[in-house]
Amino acid sequence: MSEKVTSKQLAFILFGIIVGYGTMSLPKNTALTGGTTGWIWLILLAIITSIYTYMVWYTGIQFPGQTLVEYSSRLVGKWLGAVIIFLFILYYIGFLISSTSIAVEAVKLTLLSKTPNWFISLVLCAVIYYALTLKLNGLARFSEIYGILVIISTVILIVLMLSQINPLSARPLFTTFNFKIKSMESFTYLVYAFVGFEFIYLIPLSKERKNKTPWIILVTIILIGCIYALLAQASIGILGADSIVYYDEALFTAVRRLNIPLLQIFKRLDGIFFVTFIMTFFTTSALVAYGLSYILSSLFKKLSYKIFSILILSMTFVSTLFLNSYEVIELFKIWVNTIGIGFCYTIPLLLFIIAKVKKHEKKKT
Amino acid sequence: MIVIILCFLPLTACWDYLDVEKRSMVISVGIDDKNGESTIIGGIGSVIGTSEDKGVKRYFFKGIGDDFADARLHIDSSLPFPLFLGTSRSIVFSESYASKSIEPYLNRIDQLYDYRKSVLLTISKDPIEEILDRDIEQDVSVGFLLENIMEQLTRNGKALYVTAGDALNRIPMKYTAYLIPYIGLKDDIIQYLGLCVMKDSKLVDIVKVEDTDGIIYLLNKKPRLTEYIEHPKDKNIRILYITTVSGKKIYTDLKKEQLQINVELNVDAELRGQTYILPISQSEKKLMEKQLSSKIKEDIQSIIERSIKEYNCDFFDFYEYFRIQHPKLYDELDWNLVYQNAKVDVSVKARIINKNMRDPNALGKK
Repeated sequence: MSEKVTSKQLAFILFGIIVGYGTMSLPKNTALTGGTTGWIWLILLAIITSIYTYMVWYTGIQFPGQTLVEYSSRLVGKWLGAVIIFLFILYYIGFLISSTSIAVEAVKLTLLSKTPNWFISLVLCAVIYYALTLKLNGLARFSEIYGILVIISTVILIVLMLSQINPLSARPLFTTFNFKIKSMESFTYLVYAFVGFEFIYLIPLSKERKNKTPWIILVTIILIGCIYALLAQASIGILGADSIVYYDEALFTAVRRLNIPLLQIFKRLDGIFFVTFIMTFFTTSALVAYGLSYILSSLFKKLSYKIFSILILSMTFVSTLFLNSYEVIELFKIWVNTIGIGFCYTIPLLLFIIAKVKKHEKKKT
Repeated sequence: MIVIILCFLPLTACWDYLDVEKRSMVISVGIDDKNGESTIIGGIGSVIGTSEDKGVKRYFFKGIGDDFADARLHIDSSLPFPLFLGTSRSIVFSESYASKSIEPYLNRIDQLYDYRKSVLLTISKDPIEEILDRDIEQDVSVGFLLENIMEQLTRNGKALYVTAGDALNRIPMKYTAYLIPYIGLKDDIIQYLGLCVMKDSKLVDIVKVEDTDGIIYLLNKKPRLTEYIEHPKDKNIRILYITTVSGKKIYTDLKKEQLQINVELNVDAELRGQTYILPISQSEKKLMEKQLSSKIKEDIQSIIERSIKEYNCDFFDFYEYFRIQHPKLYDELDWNLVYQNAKVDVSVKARIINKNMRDPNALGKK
């Protein structure tokens, strides 16, 4: 693999894959976790995530130009490496199916209530397939463009939302007594909103600009944390901490509540910002689908990348058809959450320690 | 690949596509329950391409049933096109329905996807048929009229615009109290008549528009009210001031089970008119500032005390201030018990800031 990604693109890929899946229910889970002070958890999680991202990057930079598929056996041995790759595949299958089905569900519930699921899913999978044919460099450039659009519109959205909040319901911002996790389940959803940084394992890193990249990654993750916190706080300000917990897609509900007469014909904003949300769903799904096709195609060299991407997307398409009832989706989500959090918060640590130890040994000899 | 994608483009929203002309667009909705039966009535504005003058035709629908779903079924069976609620401008509840609880219909608004949550809520003095099924000349239809009246009054700081979303946000709270505009016929014209006090989504009482000043000072974002003061020298001369709030501070405290509410208000007053011109000296101005302060203080104090003693209903959101200022205490409190013994201390500082670019003292300067 000779595809190289600049550090700026790396930041946007991170942004593209992390932001998306969890954003819709984020305000609800923030409110459930800590009421109006829940945003502190988001910032804390962002800091922890940035440390983890650094670990992933550090492991990757020890093997320049290679990806986890190639260096896992060198790092932890053949068997453990295979287990890690297998877990990675399992996790990404779940991640891909859940993010796609949620995107389909969200489009159906909020915009096209009468259009059948299979059609939305088909269109989404077709577009993702097109994105996959561009491979990593294409996807990186495309996340850059989408990332910029998403950041700009999100900032506008936050400003507009903050102008409309009821300042009483978003407060108090700090209390000493409230600082505990009220609901562990919603806290795991908050953790899950930051999942996705392990994608760096699948990017061949180069040693150029080695000193600058970690900072860019750090800033990106903290920025995501700040955007999350502001979105959550603004939604709580609009809906109220007591009422927001009843809405699964709290962010979209909050955007739908906005009514800004000052903007004349743009006073209703849901249509405009839903496009942004779809962009974030789409980048997440596309990047995960790429990751999956990449791992599979480099493991089984007999079949080409293209065939794998078609296979994976048809699998996604079929499984979104089966994920059609609330209970199934909930069960599935719990499964993906568990495996995702398990994968993202244990394996990077393990690999990081091993990489650190190996480097130390190398220095000694 | 691009060809495949292009093929999808013309198909956008094909299952959901419905022409504007093929929808019954609701402008106003009225909710009543007569003899225990739910009644939904409302006005529809339908776009018709052939009409020459306005292009909009108005007609009314009415559905009666055991519950709202049943009533809605009756409505649907009488309409040429499917109902689209996204265009509704205002919802009118009858007084009798509101006194039982408007919560069921609010939840229905929440759960019906096409309803705008920023739709205006009102409660009507008169039978809702009489209000909604009315030919008016001021506006396209009653739904728009109510929305526009409330919007202009609120923007000019004289009333409160309450949306379904505002009410919905309060329902899950530990303590639910809010206000809804009261409308009705006066001299055979549809008017804004005051504010309805809602406790737990039930109508408790109505504050007449003359008595709402105190509420507006505290709850409107930019209050702008008119106050009359008599000239200290001549009681026949009335001086008109427009007042705006330049600073508002609310402190709450709980000491020995006694709730103390302190309201501090800074009011700026602009001179807007005198019935007869008479010079105003500096000392008279000071005197008038004092009079104005005590008048506004009286307005606010009396309505807060009324809310405590008559209704025991905190529609001023003092509980929100308390929650912010004492979050731990609030979690353990029953606000109903605390509020009924609350002590209120209002202090108002009024300042006359300009004289409308006039000089009433011109002759005195000689």
